[in-house]
This record gives sequence, structure tokens and C-alpha cells, in this order.
Amino acid sequence: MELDRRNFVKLAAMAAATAAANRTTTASAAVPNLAPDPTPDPALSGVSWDKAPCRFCGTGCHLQVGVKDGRVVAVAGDPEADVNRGLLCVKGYHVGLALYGQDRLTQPLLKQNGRQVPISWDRALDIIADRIQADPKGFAFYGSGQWTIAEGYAAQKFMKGGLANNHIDPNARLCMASAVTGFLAAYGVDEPAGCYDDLDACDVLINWGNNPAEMHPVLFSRVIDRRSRGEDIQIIDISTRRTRSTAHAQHYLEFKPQTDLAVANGILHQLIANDSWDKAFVEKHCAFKADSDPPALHGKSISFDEFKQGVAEYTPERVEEISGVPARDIRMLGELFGRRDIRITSLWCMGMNQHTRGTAINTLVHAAHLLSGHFGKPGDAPTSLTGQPSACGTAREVGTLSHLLPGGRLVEKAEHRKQAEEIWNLPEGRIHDKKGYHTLKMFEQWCKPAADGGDISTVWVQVTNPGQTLPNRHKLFDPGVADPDKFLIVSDVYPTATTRDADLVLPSAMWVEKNGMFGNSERRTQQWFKQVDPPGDSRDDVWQTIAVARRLHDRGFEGMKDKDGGFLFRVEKEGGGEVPIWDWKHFRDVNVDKYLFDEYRAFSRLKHKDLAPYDEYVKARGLRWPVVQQQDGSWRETRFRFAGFDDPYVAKGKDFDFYHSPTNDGRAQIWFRPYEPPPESPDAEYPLWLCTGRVLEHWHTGTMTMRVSPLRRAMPNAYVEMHRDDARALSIADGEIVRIESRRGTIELPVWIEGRGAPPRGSIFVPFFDESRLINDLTLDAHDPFSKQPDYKKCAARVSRIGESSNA
Amino acid sequence: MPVLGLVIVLDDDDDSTQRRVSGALASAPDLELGEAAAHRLPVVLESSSARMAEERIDSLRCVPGVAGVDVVYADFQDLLTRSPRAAAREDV
Repeated sequence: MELDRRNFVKLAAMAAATAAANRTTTASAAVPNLAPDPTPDPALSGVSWDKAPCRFCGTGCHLQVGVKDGRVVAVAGDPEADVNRGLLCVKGYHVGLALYGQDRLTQPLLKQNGRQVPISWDRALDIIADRIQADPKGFAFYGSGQWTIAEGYAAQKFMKGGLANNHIDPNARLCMASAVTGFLAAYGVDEPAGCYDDLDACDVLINWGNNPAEMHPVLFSRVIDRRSRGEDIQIIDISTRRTRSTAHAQHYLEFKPQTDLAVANGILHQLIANDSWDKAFVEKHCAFKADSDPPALHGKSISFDEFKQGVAEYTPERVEEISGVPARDIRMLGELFGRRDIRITSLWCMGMNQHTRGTAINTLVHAAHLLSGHFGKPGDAPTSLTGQPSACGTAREVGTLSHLLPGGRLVEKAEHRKQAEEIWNLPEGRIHDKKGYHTLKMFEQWCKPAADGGDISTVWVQVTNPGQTLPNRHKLFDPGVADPDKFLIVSDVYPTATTRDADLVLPSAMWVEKNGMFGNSERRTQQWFKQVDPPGDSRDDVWQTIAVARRLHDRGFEGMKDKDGGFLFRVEKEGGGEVPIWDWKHFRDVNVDKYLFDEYRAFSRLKHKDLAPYDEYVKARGLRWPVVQQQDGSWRETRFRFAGFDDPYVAKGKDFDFYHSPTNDGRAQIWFRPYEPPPESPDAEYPLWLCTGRVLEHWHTGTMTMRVSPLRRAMPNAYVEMHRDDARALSIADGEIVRIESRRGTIELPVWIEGRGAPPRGSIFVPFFDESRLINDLTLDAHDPFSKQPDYKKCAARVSRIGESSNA
Repeated sequence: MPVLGLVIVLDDDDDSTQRRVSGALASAPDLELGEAAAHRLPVVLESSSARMAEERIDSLRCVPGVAGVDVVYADFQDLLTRSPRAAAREDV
């Protein structure tokens, strides 16, 4: 029997490998997949298979998940998925093991006398309802881009429609909020116009402060694979530190932190100086903008001459002076953008977004593509990537940000509130007309004593770990924990840096332990079904939200009723009658995801982000919005927004139409935004730049990947990357434990010289995955004025040997 | 004993590269080679532990003619059924 089982497993492994090898040699997603099925007959192998997107990053790779005896026992890259074509990264093929860490949370825990003790779900729901009823306006919800679409949608409906309280925000605020404001300022609507197909067609790939070889390896491998097939692709790495991506680049342009704005302005300057900007595209489809006084997201319109005057300062020599990037490299970039015979794709992620000038640098990179006409053709695209699996699909699209309602609506716009109230059947005026607290403000208000105006008394955290990820933790997390009047509720799957300080811990189901939908970085909405049971008494996050809503409803809380007195999350049985989905015993009597998604769909048309019915996603490996129904009844996805050849919302005969233009004239906005110095720079006291980030092996705060032994072994703890000369100057040896200090905190870490990445002299880098060494005790909470996203990529720090005075 | 499905990415799709890499790997007892598709060679790796598998993948990346190794399938039934003590031993 054992031999048979192993033979089946080996056959399946070979089938998967053969499928992937065949699929990846055919670059076009349109080529039919003739490869063998990697999932052998369940009747023979004992393993049943079903699709699911990966739990980790925003790439959105599809897997086939193998289940036997109620446990996930195997994963295979899904050869039918256009995103990954059967490939997986090191995190992806270990994702099944992330379910089976020894310390899963399996029962609600309440802090009593300093200890967390088990309690029943019934009591937990009562405690939350008590906190809300005592102070409904002081209740806040903090989630993430790991919320499934149904979870995020339910959470924001609970808050905005139920509590009439807009204090809900996702950790996406810390992650890609500047990409959102960049898209809004340039195109009037969020999310990339291009898609991953651009990676198959570009001649030049520019990574702006981005390390896809480690953070989005499956996407990066699409480009490297083209090279292996003999295609000529230039990769340009514009960064503050050498990474694994640098090794694949022909050009490495190292800039001083914050000066990417000067580099981008240098490109704009060169396009004008060389008279190589795309006049036809710009005259027909673009307008110009600059910052207004006072500053506003949409700034003020300016003329081309004013724009030209703005960028005139950014000659290659001046940019070299500001940024350290040689003038010849600025000219090289300008010449590339000036060429019409090549296609250029820009990719970025946290490097541009976690930036006190994040909105500005986002708009400048869009400007380089728009001014040069490198936009809207396959391979010509400015594209931001997301770090979380549903930063787009949930955090941005369903309205979990504190100023949003679903489908890109704004809480401060009466018409949008009215639309939401109609769809939710709420009495007019239920939704509060002021935006809620963004993440930093939410935690600042939670940390501030009530007597001092700290008006957030309770925060409910789901699917994220602010105790590890908030910047300047000593200011934004610790005081709230210490204040006995403040209350922290955390839903999670494992103990984390946040659960350890929680007053109430709720055990959650994870990934294929529940139904779910995600939306990835290329507007692709993906669906999966529950495949295994969650352990112990852990339960779906969406159930937790609905159960609290029902508890409030049953206590007579008016907000949890619609205008006809029905429950806010009422689900009808076929043939009539209500399904008691708040009762765990009945939660799975219906597919709650399908119910919520089909309700949410009604919101998706306003901004032309049309979604198909739920059942279409069951059949597909994701669909990219807008998804519109064809005359024959089928549903068609859109690869290239605003482009006449593909986007159904561009009027016939037009080659481009920016139909949500901020200037209401179909034009995209080309911004001029000057370089400005960062809020904190190295000085005599703190002479080094500190940059933080991620590593290949661990996903974000490591709460899942640190439970996977091969990943934990491969990267067991955080470290500080340091330049050899800086280490030598301080008599520090490789591997030595040193003290790292900023004006906000101190930690101790081993030094890694010429390690995974190589920061230049005067810089250090520390990854943030290690909960035993919290680098965010040191980081800065200064943030972008528009996106409110903090800057984790640069602050001033110093390093000293243990036992020596730090001021020495 | 983990079983992994791998795709070995060759430096190019030249026949001689395929022959050279296949020749170097053919006699390895822990590998089963499939039929190459252009510059990609499907392989099954059977390993005694997760750690050994990781090390073996790293060693494959160093074989002349190999540009990279992608993992496309992982079966970890054995990892899930081993005792906590065995799991801990492997973590050492």
C-alpha cells in the first residue's frame, strides 16, 4: 500500500512538473494547455483536489490543493492559471503547512488578572457587544488586505451601515495607500490599467525601489524565463540597496533615500529637453497638474509651459547632485522613455508607497509613462504591485478604508451615501458623513487616554498584526495596551505580537478552512471553497462579525436593523424564511460568501469595476474587472483599462479614454511635483539611514511562515545588513550582535555583511518578520499628507557594539 | 519523506545543454527525470526530510547549465504524520 501511495504521489509530482514545463514554454495565455492533469484520480490516490489562490502575497498564484483525511497534504501550481502557469515560489509550495503549526489558536481567550483564559464564544460575543453598546462611537475596526472580500465587505457594512461609524481601516494604509492616491490623482480612479500580460510584452522592465525576485518571484520569473528563451529584455533596478533583483539587472541606479522624486523628474526633463515626448498622445489624452495651496489630492491644473518650467531644474547634472545617480544614467532613462520602438513596464511596491512623498512619486512615475506615451499598449504600463492577497480586491474595492464606501464611493459624498443606503435598505441618513480615522490616527486615539481626548476605546483587529507592523510602536501601540480603560480584541490564527497584548483573542479559520475570494494586483477576482475544517473552536472571521451584529440586533440595537426592521445581514432561504447564519450550527447552511458577494456586486458598476456573478468565479481561475456580459451571455474580462482595443467602456472609435478623469474631460493628469527632503535624515548623532522590508522566506510578520519549519530554518531570525566599511569603522565583525537605535527605540540584532542584500555605505537594512526583534520600535510615523501612509524606508539610526556607550 | 515536483530551467534550449544537464542528473537516486520541453526539464525529487529537500534544490541550482529551479508540486503527508519529537529533531 505504501509503495502504491508513493507511486501515486510521484506520478502526481511528475504530472505537475511536466504540465508546468509545457505551459511555461508557451508565453501566451491564449495557447491551450495540452499538459497532463497534475491531480490524479482521488479514487486511486485518496487525495481530492480543488483550486485556491495562494494565501500569501498579492501576485495571486493559483494552486491545486490536495486534501486527504481532512487535512491539506499536497499543493501543486495550477497549470490552468494564467498568473503562475503552474509555478510556485518557496512560500507558495509550503502554504499547506502553514495551517498546521503546533500553536494554532483554538478557543476564545479573555485576559483576566494578566492571563488569557479560555471562555465560550457566547461570552466573547457578549463582551464585544457590551463594549460597543457602552461606546459605539469609540469602537474601531482594523483589518487588512488579507480579509477575504466577504469578510471585508461585512466588516465595513457592520461599521458604516450598522454602527454609523466610519472608524474602520485596513493595514493596506501601511502598505499601498500611496498607490491608491497616485492612481486617483492621475486617472481619477484606483488600480492599475495594465496587468501581468505586460511582463510578457515589455522590452524594458524598471523596478522602482522594488525587489520582485524575492517579493513577487513568480512574476519576476515570467521575465527571466523570456530571457532564457533568448528574448532581449533590459531590466533596470532603481533602488537604495542591492537585492537579489539587482543581480538580474543590466543597470543598477542607486539613489539616496527620498530622491527618487528627482530621478523621475529627471526623466520628465529629458523627454522635454530631447523633444521626445509623445505630443500626439499627450495633446489628445492628457492634461497637467501641480500641487495647490493648500495641498489637495487633485491639486491645480497648470499649462504645459508651467509644467516645463517646473521640471526645468531637473537637468541630469542637478539630479545627480540630489540623488547620486550619475547624469549619464538619467540621460539613459530619458532616451529609453523617448523611444517609440520599445515597450516599458514600471513595477513598484513598498519602496515607492511607504514614503512621506508616496503620492508624489507615484504620480511622477505615471507622468513619465504618460508624457512618453508608454501607456496602454501591452508591455507599456506603470503598475503597482500589492503585498497582500486581497489588498486590491478587499481593502481597496469593498470600501474598508475609513473614507470609502464600496465600489470607490466616498462617505463624504451625499449621493454615494444615498446609493449605499438604498442597496443596504437603510433609513436615509444612517451612514455618517465624515470620514473615520485612518490607521495612524485610529491607534493614536486608542493610545491617548480618554481624559486627553483619546476617543477610541476599543479596537477589533482581524487578520493583521499591528503590534508588529505599526511604525513607532512605543507611541502607537504600547500606551493603548497599558491603559486599563482601553480594550483590544484580536481575531487571528496563531499567537502574535498583537494577540499577546489583547484583552480578548478570537480564534479564526484560515485560508481553505473557509470559503473565500481575493482580488490580486492585476484586478483579478478569485474564488475558492472551504476544503478542510478549522481546528478546535476556531471560526470564520465573517461569521464573527455577523454574530456580533446579531447579538447587538437581539439586544435592540437599531443600527443592526434595516429600515424594515430586518437584520442587516439577513439571508433568505430558498422558498422564504431567514437562515440563522449568526448561529455557528447554521452558518454553513448557505454559502454566505456568495450571498455577500452578489450583494456587493451591485456597487461595482459606478467606477466601471464591474464584477460577474459569484458562480462565474467558481468556474474561472479569476477574472479581471471590468467583467462585462457579452451578447451571447458569456462574461468577458478586461486586460487593459482605458485602451480602446480592450476596454469595453472606451467608446467605439477612440483609442484611449480616461473615463474617470479628475478633470471630467477624458484626460489623464501629468503631474509635476518637486523633490523635497525627508522629515528625518542622518546627522552627527544618528548617522545612518535605516530601511526596513521583507525577505523571500517569510511573509510579512512571519506569523504563518515562521510555523513552517523549512522556512523558519532557512531564515530563523532578523538581522541587520551593514556595509563592510561602516562595520569596520565601528570595529564590528560579521555575525556580531549590535545595538541599533533611533530617536524612538532600540533593538539588538546580529550583523550580516554582504548578506542577502547589500546596502551602500551609510545605510542599514532590517527585515520586519521577526516578532522577537521588533524593528518598528525604531521606525518613523511621519506619513504622506494625502495617503496617510507612513515611511518605513528611511529614518536616522545608529549602530554600536554591545557594552559600548551608544554615544561613543 | 517529501516528494517534490520541480521544473529545472536550463540556460538555453540547446540540445547539448539538455543532454549535459540530463546526463549529470540521470544517475542521481533521488531524482526522476521527465521529458524536457524546450529549456525546461520536469523532475521529481524524493527526499528524506524537508531540510534535505531544500539543500538538494540548492545543489541543483549549481549544476552547470541550470539557470534556475522552480518547485511546482509538494506532497507533505509524511511531514504531517511524523511525531512532534521527529519534527523537533529536524528543526535542530
